[in-house]
Amino acid sequence: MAADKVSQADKIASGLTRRQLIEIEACSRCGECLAWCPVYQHDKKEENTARGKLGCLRKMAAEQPGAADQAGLLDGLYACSACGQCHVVCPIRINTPELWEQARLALVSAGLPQPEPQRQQLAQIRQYNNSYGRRQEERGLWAERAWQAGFLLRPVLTWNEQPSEVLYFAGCTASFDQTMQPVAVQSARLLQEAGVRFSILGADEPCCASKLRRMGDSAFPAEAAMRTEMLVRKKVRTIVVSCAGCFKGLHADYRGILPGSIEVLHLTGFLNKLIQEGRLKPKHEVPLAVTYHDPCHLGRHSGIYEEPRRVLGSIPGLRIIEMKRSGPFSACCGMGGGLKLARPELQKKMSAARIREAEATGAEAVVTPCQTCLMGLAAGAVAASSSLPVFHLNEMLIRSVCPDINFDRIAAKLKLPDGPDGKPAA
Amino acid sequence: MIEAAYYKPWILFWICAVLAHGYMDYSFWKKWKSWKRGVQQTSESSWTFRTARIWLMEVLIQRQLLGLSFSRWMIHMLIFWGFLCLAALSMFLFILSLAQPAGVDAGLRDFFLRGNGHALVKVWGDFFGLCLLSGLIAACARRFIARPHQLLNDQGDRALLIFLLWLVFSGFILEGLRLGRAHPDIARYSFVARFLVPFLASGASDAGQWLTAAWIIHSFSGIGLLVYLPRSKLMHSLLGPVVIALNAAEEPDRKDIYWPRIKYHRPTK
Repeated sequence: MAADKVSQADKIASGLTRRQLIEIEACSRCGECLAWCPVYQHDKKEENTARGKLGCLRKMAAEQPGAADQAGLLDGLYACSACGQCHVVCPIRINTPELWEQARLALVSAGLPQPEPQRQQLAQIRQYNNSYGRRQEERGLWAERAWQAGFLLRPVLTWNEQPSEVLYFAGCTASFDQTMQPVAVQSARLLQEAGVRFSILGADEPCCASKLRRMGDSAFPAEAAMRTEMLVRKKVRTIVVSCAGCFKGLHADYRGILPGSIEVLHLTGFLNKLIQEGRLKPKHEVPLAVTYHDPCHLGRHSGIYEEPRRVLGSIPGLRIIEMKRSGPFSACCGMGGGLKLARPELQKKMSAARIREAEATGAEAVVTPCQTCLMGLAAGAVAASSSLPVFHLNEMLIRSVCPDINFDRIAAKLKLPDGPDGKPAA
Repeated sequence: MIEAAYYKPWILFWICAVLAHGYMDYSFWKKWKSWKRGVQQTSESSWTFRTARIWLMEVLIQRQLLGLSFSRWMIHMLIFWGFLCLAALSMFLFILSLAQPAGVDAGLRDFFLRGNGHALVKVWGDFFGLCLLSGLIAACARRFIARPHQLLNDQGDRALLIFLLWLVFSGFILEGLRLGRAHPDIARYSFVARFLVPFLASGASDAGQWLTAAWIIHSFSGIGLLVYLPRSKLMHSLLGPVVIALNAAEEPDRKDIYWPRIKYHRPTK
């Protein structure tokens, strides 16, 4: 009964942190966020901007909301990729990505609706431990099949078979999405080329669950704790992650949960280190002028801008041309924060815009170290009727280190026929 | 160097000031209670020299705005420093007025109001008043004439600008009227208000009434600011530095956030 007496405003406010409640009142309404917001560029509604969302949230948490405030906030909050551009440009430095994620959680906890596709995806992650609704047993098959196809120097062993100094964490997309499996295969091959002793978790590899955090699922802390316990039990010391989303999850969202003794590295940083140490040698020339797309989870959210550029810079013949918006100001492709599920049409426009920006540089290709951005940008190229190819960073390095196993060849070789359920047969 | 005396309704002023302050304190207390509904979060903060440096650069020098646009930075700096320094002057004189009866002002009140320090008070007041006034006029021009597309222009924004302009204008008018009855030695230090003297000159018989009226308008508007502050977007001037400090303590090493080449990517008006 007591719970019924708690007002909606109190429920929302108690779902935010004290700092966030101060932040929503600190906004000076200067509108700098509006000028940079990649969503607002394609859907010019005030509530899509940080200023608009903060205004609605302020009223929602202060018990003065109108119907328009609630609708506006829900609209704006889910039409947001939480790319963090507003955090970088805000003169007051309101930590917006954290705020949007926490606000989503607070709104769902207060009983407000969430877009159905997001709800379904979250349920799927909780049920299957991956965002593809596939059996966990299929997760590590990419490694087995890549070894059989001759793409690897040695078989990749699972942690249970042989614990190693490094755990390679492929993530759901590179494990289950057939078009993205080459990312995992190429990552493994590059690590092998550098002589790194690593293992994978195979069927034991969990979803990092960061999507639960992104989309405001209250189960995240418990799920993260469970995964941490498993990593500790397996005595993992260093995790190398090739997915920018998983990296942000394990590196930032698990902060305070994951013990400090476990180091989380993104593949690009690790590869850069291997190149600097001379363990990995890009030797073949890749005569290409490319432009680099910073994934939000790697760049703005984690501060990794230089390492991927250094990796690309180490490839003979390869030239980087920066886009108008790069580094901390890189325009989001729209694939993060559940936006693709909530507003797919908007995401496509954002990716297409990014492709046009890339085209304007005169580069011959776009390169990104994130498979999710890769998928988004590839779809964006189609939407923009552009012939500009989009590559994963691994592909550039592979072309220079061992050109025989290019992305398309791996994808073609590993592709499985579709099963009766429309999903690839395992 | 004493100025001519005129009637000031101090009792009414103090009653209103106490009530306004009480209302402001109550509003802040309500806000504090409202913030306390949130979860107390433990974060990895480091309060170091670097944090302090970021705070100084972001709050006192407003480097982010400078990175975006010189004119925008200049407008905000004029308003920020003008307002801050005038408020500091008022606070200083107020403290002295309380300290003198208690006998702990060390003669400072006489020095600043009647002695050689009076010139400094006049120059300070006029200089920062001029800063504030120019900043506000430029802000009006930016908002109403050359309005960049990101600027909202709702009732609250307009009301605040008009209110601040009113406050500054009334201050200069009061000062001009005061100078009309002051010794020329004093007038020359009020280098802005003295130009208003010819326009504000009135017959010696009712000059005191005009002064009283101007004093009431200016000081009661100042009291009004206390009431308006918690409900206006001026709250950002109090909370902004707090949020900047919290963020700087959490992300002091983020060069991409604190030292970006923002203008290179989007120069703004």
